Amino acid sequence: MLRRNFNFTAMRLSACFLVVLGVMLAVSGTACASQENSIKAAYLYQITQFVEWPEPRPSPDAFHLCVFGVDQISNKLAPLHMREEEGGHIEVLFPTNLIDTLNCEIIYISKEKAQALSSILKALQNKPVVTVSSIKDFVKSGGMIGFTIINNTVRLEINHSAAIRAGIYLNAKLLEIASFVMNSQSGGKR
Amino acid sequence: MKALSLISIRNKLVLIIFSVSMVVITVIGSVHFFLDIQHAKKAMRHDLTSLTELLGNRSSAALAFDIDDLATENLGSLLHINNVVQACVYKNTGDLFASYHRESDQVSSCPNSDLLPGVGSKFDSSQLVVVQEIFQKEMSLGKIYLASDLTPIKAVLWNIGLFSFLALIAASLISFILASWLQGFISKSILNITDVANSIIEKGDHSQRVAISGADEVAKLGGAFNDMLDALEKQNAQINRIEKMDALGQLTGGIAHDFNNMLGVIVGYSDLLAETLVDQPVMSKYVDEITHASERGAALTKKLLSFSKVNHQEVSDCNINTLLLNFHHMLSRTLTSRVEMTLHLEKELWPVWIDEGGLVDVILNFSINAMHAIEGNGRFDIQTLNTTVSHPAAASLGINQGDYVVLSFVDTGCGMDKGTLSHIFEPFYTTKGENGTGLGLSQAYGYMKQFDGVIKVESQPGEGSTFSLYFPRYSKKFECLLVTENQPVPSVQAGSGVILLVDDEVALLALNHELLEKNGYTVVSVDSAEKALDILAHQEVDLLISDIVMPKIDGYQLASIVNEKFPRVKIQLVSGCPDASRSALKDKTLSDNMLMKPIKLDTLLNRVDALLSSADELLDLEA
Repeated sequence: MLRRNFNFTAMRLSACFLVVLGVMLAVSGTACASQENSIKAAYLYQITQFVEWPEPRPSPDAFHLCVFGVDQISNKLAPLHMREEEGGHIEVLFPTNLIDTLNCEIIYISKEKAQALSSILKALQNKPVVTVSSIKDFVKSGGMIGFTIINNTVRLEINHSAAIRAGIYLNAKLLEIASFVMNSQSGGKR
Repeated sequence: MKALSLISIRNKLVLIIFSVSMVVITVIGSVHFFLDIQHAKKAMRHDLTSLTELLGNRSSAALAFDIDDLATENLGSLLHINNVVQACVYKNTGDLFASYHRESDQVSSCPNSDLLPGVGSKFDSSQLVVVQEIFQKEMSLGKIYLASDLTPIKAVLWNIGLFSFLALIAASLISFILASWLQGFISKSILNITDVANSIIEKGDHSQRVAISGADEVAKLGGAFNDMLDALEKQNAQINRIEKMDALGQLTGGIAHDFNNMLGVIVGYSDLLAETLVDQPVMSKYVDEITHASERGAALTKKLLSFSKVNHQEVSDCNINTLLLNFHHMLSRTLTSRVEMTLHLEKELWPVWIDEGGLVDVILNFSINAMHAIEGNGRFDIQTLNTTVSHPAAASLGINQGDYVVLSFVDTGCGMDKGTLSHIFEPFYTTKGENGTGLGLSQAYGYMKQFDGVIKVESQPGEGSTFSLYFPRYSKKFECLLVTENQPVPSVQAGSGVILLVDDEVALLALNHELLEKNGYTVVSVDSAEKALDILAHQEVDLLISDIVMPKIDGYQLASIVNEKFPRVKIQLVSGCPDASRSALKDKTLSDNMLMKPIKLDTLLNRVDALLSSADELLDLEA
């Protein structure tokens, strides 16, 4: 398994992160939807720092950040679209069918897709696509990373087994900060 | 340094070795201590930097996802690392994100991010501070700050200090023991020499020698010390021998002087008696026997005086080779046919300043001794050699350094043991019993001393003997001073004139008075120089005849006074034992023309006649 070849420059990433973090800080401790989406958008971006995808990726010079279904988070991610970075650019995509989702490195599944979640996850099962969603019990349903609210704070739940099956490596640090990590053997909680 | 010079060589060496060891140990210990401290600081810096990187790495996700509890929990793991005082995690904005403070310390807040030192590590007086940037995939997420007290270094300092102190004490003891042991390698030999030197100083025992071990400089010093003692012992023996021989010389000289005076009386009165007994043949024969015995006695005293260096001889530059060749035939006959004599002569032999007649006597003495030493057939070699004697051979022989002519007599006779060798030059010492007088070698010894030479003897019982005579090389031309004693004398006629006789030997004085008076001279005789001067002050005197050895004013002093106050008075000195003080005499002819006792009547009258005649000639010239 090779490490992801998406090489941002430290400066630009820092600038970007500062923007996102500023938003995060602004909404920290509040559960209003806008702030929550901002935090989740920042988390989506941050997650890429702790994940490694198997080679070959669909497009070596572009990173595909997808939103499947209608969701307010799209507005928060849209500014990143086509932003040129050293070594490639970010493409924020909004696939409309499951076939297109296979080109994504990371896909956020909106709550409106909750009914079709099992079929979506089935379609993406064992595919090198990190599935993220705010749908309740998302990781228990087979998704990889789920957002949850604990004490008015956005936290992560992780299905490590699903990631492993898809050939995706999740950094231990990411597992460390997760409020819940599910493994196939232990199905453990944290 | 002055105090150092007062302590013994043993303690000096211990002190030097100990001091050098301690300085070396201290320097090495200091360097080691410094390196250990540097190593401890480097290790501590490395450990804290690694810890900071680890904590920063672990805090990156917490920073990325803004989970400060997790970061604080991570920092809480420092609880088990005692020396970490404080840890702080800052966001990229500079805001404090998480912190840790050691419980035992009073809680102090994390420093403002603006006041943080640059990334890296830095020691100050009380702590080590490490600041690291927290990255996640090359993206800076914030900073982490760790401060540690210097407990690890203090522990190292304490451990090293304690170890160094104990090591220093142990090293001091070992160094002192080693120094005390090692100094013996140097001091033992030196102390050995010192002990021998002290023993010589305190006991005067020159027979001790330094025990030599090894071949270092001290051993060479010991060897040189032993050589010096050997040389000193030889020189002492030489000096003792010389002193003994000088004492014997003085003794025999004194005896000869008195004996000569007695002989003088005997000879003089024998002459007078002979004149009165011309018509009595039997009595004349008795007188002749007395005269003959006196002459033999005179010959004996001559030999004694020769030993005591007071003989009066004819000296000139001489080539010993020529002398040997002239006497070769005579020597061969002396040695008889059973002894084969060979001459080995140096070509172009250097001249020497000696009395040839005396040397002939010496050569004859050695030849006769060799003949007596050789039982049956044997060989007797006479060799001459030019040689340069330098130190230490000169010191060993007791002569000055320089060029010498060596005349050697080598025989194949019975040889001599050490006991005999130590006495052979003493007068009357003989191994021939009644066949020897014991004066031959003592005469040779006195002869050589007179000419600043020396005799070297090498002999072993049964292996023959070698006598080597060292004569100083002659390099100046001296006017040959002649003794007139043996000069042919003109016939004696009755004389006239006033003669003042001075001699403390009253019998001899009366004899000479009568002899001279009988021959027509007016004689005034006194027994002291003082009386003579009194006479001279009141009476006209033509000739002063004075003995030399007298109490208060001797003959030389009297002659000097008379020369000065009464220059017209002729002077004749006579002596049975002239000594070296004659060199003080201004008029050298007085000493050179001295008459040796016993004086034959004819000799005395001829000399008086000659002196008074020359006085008359002077008066005629003046007239």
